[in-house]
Amino acid sequence: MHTIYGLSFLYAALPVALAAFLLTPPVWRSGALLLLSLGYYLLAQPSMLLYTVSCIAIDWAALLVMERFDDTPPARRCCLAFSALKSAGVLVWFEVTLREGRLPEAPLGLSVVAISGVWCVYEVYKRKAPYLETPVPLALYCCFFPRLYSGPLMPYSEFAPQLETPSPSIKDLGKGAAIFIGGAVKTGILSIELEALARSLRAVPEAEQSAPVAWCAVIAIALGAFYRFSGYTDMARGVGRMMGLLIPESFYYPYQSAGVEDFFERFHSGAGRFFRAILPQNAARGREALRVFLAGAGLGLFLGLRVNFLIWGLYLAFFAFLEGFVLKGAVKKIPTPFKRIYTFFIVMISFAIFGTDSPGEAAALISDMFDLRGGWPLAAEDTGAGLPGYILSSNWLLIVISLLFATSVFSLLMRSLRSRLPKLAALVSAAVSLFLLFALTAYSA
Amino acid sequence: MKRLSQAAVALLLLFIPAFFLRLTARDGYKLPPERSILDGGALGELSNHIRENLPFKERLREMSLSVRAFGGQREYNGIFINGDELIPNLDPPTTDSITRENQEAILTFSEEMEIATFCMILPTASAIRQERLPPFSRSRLFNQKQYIEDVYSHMTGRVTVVDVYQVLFNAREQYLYYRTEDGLTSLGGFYVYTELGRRMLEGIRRPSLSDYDVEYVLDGYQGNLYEHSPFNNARADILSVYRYTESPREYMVEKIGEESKIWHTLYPLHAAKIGKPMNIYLGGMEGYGITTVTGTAPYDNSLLVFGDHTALSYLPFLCDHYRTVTLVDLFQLDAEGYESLRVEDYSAALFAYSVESFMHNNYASLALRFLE
Repeated sequence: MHTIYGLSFLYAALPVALAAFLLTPPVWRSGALLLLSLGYYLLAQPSMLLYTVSCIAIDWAALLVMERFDDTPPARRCCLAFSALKSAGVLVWFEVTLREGRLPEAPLGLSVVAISGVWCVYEVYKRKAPYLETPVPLALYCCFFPRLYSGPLMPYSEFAPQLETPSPSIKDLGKGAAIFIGGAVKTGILSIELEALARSLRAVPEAEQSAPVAWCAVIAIALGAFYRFSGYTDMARGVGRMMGLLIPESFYYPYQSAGVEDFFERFHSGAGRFFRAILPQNAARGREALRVFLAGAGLGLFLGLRVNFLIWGLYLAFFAFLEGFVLKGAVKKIPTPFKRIYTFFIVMISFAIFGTDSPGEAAALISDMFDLRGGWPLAAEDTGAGLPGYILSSNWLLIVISLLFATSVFSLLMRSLRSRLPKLAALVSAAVSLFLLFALTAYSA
Repeated sequence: MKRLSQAAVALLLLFIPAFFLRLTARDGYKLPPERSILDGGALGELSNHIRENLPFKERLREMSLSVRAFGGQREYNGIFINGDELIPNLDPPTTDSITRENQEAILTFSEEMEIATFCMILPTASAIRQERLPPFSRSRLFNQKQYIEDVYSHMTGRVTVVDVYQVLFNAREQYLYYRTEDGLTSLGGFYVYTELGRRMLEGIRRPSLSDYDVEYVLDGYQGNLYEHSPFNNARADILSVYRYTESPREYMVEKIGEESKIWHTLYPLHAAKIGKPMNIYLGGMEGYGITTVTGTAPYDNSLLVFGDHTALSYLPFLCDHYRTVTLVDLFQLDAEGYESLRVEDYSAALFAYSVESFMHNNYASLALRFLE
């Protein structure tokens, strides 16, 4: 099976795409990039290319009509609504079809293509971006190949201007390669191993389940989700940077957030920006509160059309609502370290919802986390030895590395090194990238 | 320096792949004929091709395993990796119905056939060498000692049970189990024989280890566990045979199965040269439902053994005390085999299986066909 962190992408598709891109004259590069993206799609999932092209074509048609009726606000609103309904309808249709088994798999970039199209139309509608002369920028914005897997989402108005004559420098190539390799390791090694660890811990027989085991499983789920999504977005950022396109960071150490509102800014922030952008701000408190819940629900559903993801988004939105509207004054007074602790606590519980397949399973896992079905919390007879101890001891290195790199510790160390010993920092950075590439290859061997 | 390092990283991402592909290009890359470049599998096939043709592939795999082992992972595909040996884990069955069927079959056999019936259940390496297993893993081991005791407790008084657990455990530091094969070594077989002999050969002098000459037949044997574990650093095994020197015997080994064979030795050593090293012990068991050993031992008794592959380790020692020993693999025995075997001609019957065989396969139940 092909993956973006797989050997064929790493050692064939990416170098070929980069070489083709760099050999193309700058003025033609955006067209070349579009061809490369469509070509990649054709190789990866040819059966769904028509869906992607159709979605883009419909959004392009909406933009054309909007331009034609530029001085007719109701018509412009209709075009926007049409694009939004199209995207929503496509997402729901594919989800239903997949559940019924009528399709073997979802189209590559289902959510990204749908939401990107709407965001482009929205920004043109809001006059934050000009009308398009050709469909190339729209098509590339929707289906730029490394973004297909999980974004990151970004405003069209930030993406499009970079397409005129993208010309990466040596610095862009190097930096992009380093970001890409880091992202590939996150998704291709860490998230896979963490998800396996979480499954092993959840498969522990009931007699050995306890609150600490459940917490370890949930933390593994949360770390696995972080590395999976941030890995995909880093790979997109890395490839984009190598092609002279600056794609913003979407994950910024979300598990050290100081507040749930802060968590929304740090976890898949691009998707959060989209939902906050399209949901109109309103001075009325009630509507503003509704906006928070809709944004939370939207983020959950962007990650996947599943009930648990929706509940996950709403659960976090509830705490964001409490922080922003009900306990605003009190929250401001809490020292940051304590805010980080309570946020970590609330977010980890949210991943008990995120990482399970049904609300019932989520309730059971949360119950295990507090051992409410048994005696006192954390007083299970077996608290770490036995099978859970074996599983954790078999993965101690993975746990240490995952926890370390989910925090900003390493990043701060590198920043400090860069300011004091820039040459050494550059060497260390290059050596780390080389080592990670080597590690990913060995893991895939 | 910063620009240099950035350039280096960019170049390695561009040129290392070209280097790798150049190295793999000697075999060329072609999609399998049944695939098309547009059926969505081209990139996946290319990944497989690159994986199979990576330079230093074995080194990379070993390094990956070393890192995993350093990081705590000591089990792959149900096989524990302990330093230089592979120890297969034993997965308990979900129900004990097969165990009960086997127990009942042995008891019925004993009652109906009216010959001395013995039962021996052999622990596997993961029980005897459990101290060598990774930390905490012992808690997830199936308690074989308890299992054997439970089985025996249902049989005591009706069938003579032979408990070899303690004698093997006491000698656990010795080379009792192969490092790369799931089974007992000849030395392990000798220890089993000492306990078997104590129960089955009362009054008969049994040799000690010093009464045997040891011949090392093959040094460097890599057994069946190698195929199932990605860890290739396990120390290879030594296949050895024990020959009784005090009163040398002559033997005829008759194999009946898909084809019949006769050897005039317990150890057809030529098997090691034709790619079937484990067949040096009584010619192996694969393809043969019945193995009959007729010897020149000065005894009139005969033994019928219903056993699995573990029998090959201790039977050569038992053969010194019986005129005839017949080993029956009930799973490989065909209708003709059942017809040809006359159970009542034997002085004693021994049901001898490893814990794994006894709990997962209803071998013993098949013996009830002899009662029909």
